[in-house]
Amino acid sequence: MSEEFEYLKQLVKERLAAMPPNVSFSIGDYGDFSRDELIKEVEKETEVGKAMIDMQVHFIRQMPKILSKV
Amino acid sequence: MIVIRMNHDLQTGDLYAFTVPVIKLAEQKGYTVTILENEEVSETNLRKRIRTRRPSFIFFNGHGSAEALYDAHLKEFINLKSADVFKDTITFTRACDALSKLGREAVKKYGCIAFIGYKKKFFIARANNTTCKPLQDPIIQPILESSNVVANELLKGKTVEEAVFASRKASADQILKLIYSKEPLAVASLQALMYNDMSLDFEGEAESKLR
Repeated sequence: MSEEFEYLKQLVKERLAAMPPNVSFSIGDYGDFSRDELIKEVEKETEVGKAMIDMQVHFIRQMPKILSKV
Repeated sequence: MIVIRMNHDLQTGDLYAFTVPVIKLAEQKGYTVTILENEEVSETNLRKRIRTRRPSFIFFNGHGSAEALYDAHLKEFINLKSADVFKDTITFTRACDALSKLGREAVKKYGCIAFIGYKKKFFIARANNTTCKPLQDPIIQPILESSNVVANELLKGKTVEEAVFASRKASADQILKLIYSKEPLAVASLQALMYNDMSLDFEGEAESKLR
């Protein structure tokens, strides 16, 4: 696995860990996952984990653009 | 109008709840609303309803994939081979991934007028302690109300392109509110909303309207 992907994994896990513990995300028919379950899914690089990484990377890329317009 | 909805897990339960205000608006606007839900959801039943009701609008709420929509038992009930059910309709699928292949096929091969949907996974964020009242959940609300705007605007007579644009505008307004929100879970709602908004799009005739 590339260094870049490992970096993204770590970044997403840390961002999830910074969220309140009572948050959960439903991701299509994969089901509903608590914060701590999502951290594990990202670590194991499951389809759920990859979907979460994709969502977080989108957020990180878009936020500066949105904030620059506020 | 045909509303297809299910309520067999947390996510479909949320989608189900948020169809209620759309159905109310449709009835106020004079549409005859046919509901196909839970165990009734099957290709056979959908074809029967289409034959008898000849809907101009199909609104699906449930699980999906790039190539199929799923019934209450997570079995495919519409796929690339049966996408002719969308012929001569404007269809909005609130489901994961369905726009990417199913929507394109429905329009290009089977005469669907316009297919609105999501190209990627549909995310819903929630607070664990309020899951039984999705309509009142401040984390779920911004996500599904922005999505509801698509159906609401179509029912108000807007074109497909205008309805999708209005949903994007509603998402942008919600995003600004969430950025400044003091709600601890607002960031989760914000992330889900931004991702879904990016994934929302349509195939087919941009200028088409419900008849």
